[in-house]
Amino acid sequence: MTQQRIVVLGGGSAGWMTAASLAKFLNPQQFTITLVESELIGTVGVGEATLPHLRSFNQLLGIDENEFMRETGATYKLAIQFPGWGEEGRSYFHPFGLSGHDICGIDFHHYWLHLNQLGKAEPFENYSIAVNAAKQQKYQYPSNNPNDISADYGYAFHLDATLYARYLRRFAEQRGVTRIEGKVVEVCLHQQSSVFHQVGDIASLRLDSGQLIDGDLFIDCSGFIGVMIEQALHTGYEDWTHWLPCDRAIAVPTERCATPPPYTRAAAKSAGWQWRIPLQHRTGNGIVYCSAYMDDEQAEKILLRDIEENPTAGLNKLRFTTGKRHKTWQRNCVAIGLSAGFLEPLESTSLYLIQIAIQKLLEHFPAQTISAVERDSYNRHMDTEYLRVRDFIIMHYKVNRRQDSEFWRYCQHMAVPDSLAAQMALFSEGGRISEYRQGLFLPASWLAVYLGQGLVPTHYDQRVTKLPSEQLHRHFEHYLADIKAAVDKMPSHVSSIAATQRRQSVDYPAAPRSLYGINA
Amino acid sequence: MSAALLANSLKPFAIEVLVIELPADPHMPMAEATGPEFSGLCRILGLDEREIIRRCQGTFRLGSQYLGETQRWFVPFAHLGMSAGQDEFEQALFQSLKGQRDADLDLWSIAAMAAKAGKFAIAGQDRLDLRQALDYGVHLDAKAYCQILQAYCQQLNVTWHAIDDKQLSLQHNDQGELLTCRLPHATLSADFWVDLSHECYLSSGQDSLINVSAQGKESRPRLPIRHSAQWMSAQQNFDQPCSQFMHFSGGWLKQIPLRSGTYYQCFSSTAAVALPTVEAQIRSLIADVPVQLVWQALQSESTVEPWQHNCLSLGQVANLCGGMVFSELQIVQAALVQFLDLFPDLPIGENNRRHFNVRWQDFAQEVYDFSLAHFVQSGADISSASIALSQRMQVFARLGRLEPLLSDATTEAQWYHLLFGLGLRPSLPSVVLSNVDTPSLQHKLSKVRQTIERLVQGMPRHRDYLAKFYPLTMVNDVKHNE
Ligand SMILES: Cc1cc2nc3c(=O)[nH]c(=O)nc-3n(C[C@H](O)[C@H](O)[C@H](O)COP(=O)(O)OP(=O)(O)OC[C@H]3O[C@@H](n4cnc5c(N)ncnc54)[C@H](O)[C@@H]3O)c2cc1C
Repeated sequence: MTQQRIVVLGGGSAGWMTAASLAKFLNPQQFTITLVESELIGTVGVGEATLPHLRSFNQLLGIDENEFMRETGATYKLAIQFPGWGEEGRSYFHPFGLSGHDICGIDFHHYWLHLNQLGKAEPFENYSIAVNAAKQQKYQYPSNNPNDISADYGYAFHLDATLYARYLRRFAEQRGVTRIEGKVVEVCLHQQSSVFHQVGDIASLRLDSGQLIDGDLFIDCSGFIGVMIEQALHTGYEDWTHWLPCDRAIAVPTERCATPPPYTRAAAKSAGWQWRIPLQHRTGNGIVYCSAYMDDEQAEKILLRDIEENPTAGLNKLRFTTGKRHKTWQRNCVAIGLSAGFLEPLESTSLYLIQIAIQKLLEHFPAQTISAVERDSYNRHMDTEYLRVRDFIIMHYKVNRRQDSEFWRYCQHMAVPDSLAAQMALFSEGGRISEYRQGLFLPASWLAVYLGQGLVPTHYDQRVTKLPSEQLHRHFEHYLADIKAAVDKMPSHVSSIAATQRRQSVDYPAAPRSLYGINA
Repeated sequence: MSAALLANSLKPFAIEVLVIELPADPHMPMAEATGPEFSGLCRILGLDEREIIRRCQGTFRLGSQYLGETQRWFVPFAHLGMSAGQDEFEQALFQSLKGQRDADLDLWSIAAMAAKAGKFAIAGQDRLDLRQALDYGVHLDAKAYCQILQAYCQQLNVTWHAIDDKQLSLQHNDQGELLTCRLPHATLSADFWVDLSHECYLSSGQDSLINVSAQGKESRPRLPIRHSAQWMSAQQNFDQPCSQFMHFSGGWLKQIPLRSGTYYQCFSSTAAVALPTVEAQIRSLIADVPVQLVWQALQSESTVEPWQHNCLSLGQVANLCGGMVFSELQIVQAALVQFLDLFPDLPIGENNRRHFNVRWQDFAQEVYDFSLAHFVQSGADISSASIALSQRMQVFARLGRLEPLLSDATTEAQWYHLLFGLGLRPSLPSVVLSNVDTPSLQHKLSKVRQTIERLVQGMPRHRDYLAKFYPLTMVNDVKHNE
């Protein structure tokens, strides 16, 4: 039997995550895996905040979580803090967890909306154990007991993307992936059809050294440029800049912070936002901005003004166009990572999208002759995933209430995709959220952002008004007391990280499939 | 059931439920075949499931046995294998069965094996895995079940208005909302109306306002079912904890075993003129067929948007696929649960209503597709009828995987069994398993199969289980666990 040749172009997070997964699952007798990358070109080198799904990815590969923490300088992440998004001077958290539990079959937030209207509720985020732990810089693995309030959250990591890629490279090479250093200067297409290929499919990659790398299936992880999917196959790109107008970023690492918080910060600025991602050995910082409203010099100034530690390297300046390839699987080429599309890292979704693309590729893995059935099904899956993330990120901009700049006013008044408009209208009308079965971000996330940014519907489920408000208030108070008692018992984030540094590793819980812990 | 569910869910909020009971419909099914949602309903209502089964001639239902044109297969409610959500289990199975002429998926389903052996048991609380693997519905005498639910409603002080005449006089406001309904002895007013009549009495009467066909966008395409007939035979069958579907050219004969006898429903895709041929075919399949069958012409078209103004028309949509695979109760229960989730405030928001209708379309699409798939082997061309179904079948035939489900109408397990049963065989192996050598894959699978065999062997016979734990009762009231 001839081996199926898989060629991965690119050695960034996407390339090595893909190569490592393929190496883990594909039988080396049936498949060869080659990864081409160019040190000359390098990687974007950012991408440090993640979602809890990365835990399932590591688990699938059989990676020990504590070793992973040591190798990538990772810290834990329970939430994202969003200062200045609703109004300047105010802040909220979007946690990986639930806030409250339903009562008599009606969602908690309807009761909250009612008590809030009566002036008897605390801010919505206070009813989340993850937020309370994050604010107090505490961290503990979630409980496995669904009846325990400490089961109401999940966790992710802040990691050093370069170290993670290096770690995965070792993993992949140990499992038979061949790495080739070199710059691709030409993508050669089949000129004749055969049993396996059609005219126009990719046949091989030519390197600057002259070497030709033949393949059957090509995975394009070449970053924004899309060497195969776009430059060679001209797949086309759906531009979403009118909904997500930020188009530039500047990143800068700074010294480590002595007590790294277990959350990412994404602070709104006059025409964009600034991230702060605490790792064990350094802190990642960067500003994402819209060049039509803020020039590079201004952005640089704001970034350097607002970092909290001293820079340890120069500035990394990036340009991007938010959007997605029309098809992320075209002919015999599957684009994964930045070559497939880009959504700004406001909700740390890029590594998740890479992970889901790999998972779907494995599920739809073609034979040597590729059929439209698996390709179309894969593309349908990925379209949905991107659209879900897109809508959720646009929503952050759309529901801002800042009055300080043209940029934010533009965002308030811009048209949004129909799917998002319907979702927002549903919430405004009666506090409901459409819960989809496929894709990221369930009601807990929508609520955190809506309510956090001050979009409080005046109408809510009127059934909740029929319960005595005093009784409801007492119930809320008890809930807060339970959260406080649980968080009080948690160790500090710093000591939890320290526990992972020892060789005799601590036991960590299995990765749940949800963003919000086992109770979601 | 609707009144009971609404009254119970709305009780904590002091919301009153009124019922208008229309004259009995001679075509109403005499038996009910539920899915696992029955246990869910009992839990919500606080009803004693055991008592209902005892009072309603009940038997258990682990799924449906299909006797196809050439193949036989089983569609259980529960997953394949011994534990749910095991990555690649189904793909491993398809791979190991590849090329086998009489490949039998049922051997890896404890529900299928138990049902075929006439065995049944509900696992203890300490074996939640087994409970899941033996997920069940029930077969109930429809009339007795209805009486129990009616008594339950009385306990909840639901006001009941039974009428003999279907002439309802309705009054709407300018916005098209239904304000009052005049009955011979009373005029009822309500904020919200749920219409369960097949004829949509509360909604279709006002053509200018609530013309479902004009406003409800396009109707769903017809299923190939055009006629149905039902009858009860005295033949008792205690050894079949499942429903059975028997294929004949142009339709399906559904058989539901009750303790008092066997209920049959025949669904035919033929025109009226060909019904005598259908009858002859049925007689060749089973002995117990009445001399004269009463056929009902089926309207399997329904509006796409059941919630219009302040009225939710569920009668027509519940009859969506003629009740062949999904019972009306099952569909209504699902729709009401969704409705309760969006319980309307006044004035009713347009977006809530639209959201319900969109969600409903997803649910209905899946009900429709699953029912339609039953006609694939009859050579019906389904590609124009449902793109979603053709895609699902193509993806399964290629990869042994399912396109994402849009609603809770069906489970993945049901699709796997149905598509495999219909003769589709995945052509590509799962690469995720390419590192697992064939002998160890076979070994793991045969261990699961052995476990299932052993467990089924140890299970009691369905008839004994019923006799021991569910002896028939004629007690008037079912306990209501508050
Ligand atoms: C400002 C910013 C912040 C981000 N923050 C986050 C975050 O917090 N969380 C998150 O999940 N994601 C984040 N991301 C996204 C994340 O960085 C990327 O998704 C991730 O790094 C994957 O990148 P990649 O591997 O697709 O591309 P790259 O890292 O760009 O890798 C491209 C690879 O292709 C190779 N290559 C390109 N052309 C050629 C050629 N001609 N020949 C040979 N090799 C070639 C390069 O050498 C390189 O190895 C962020 C992105 C940006 C821009």
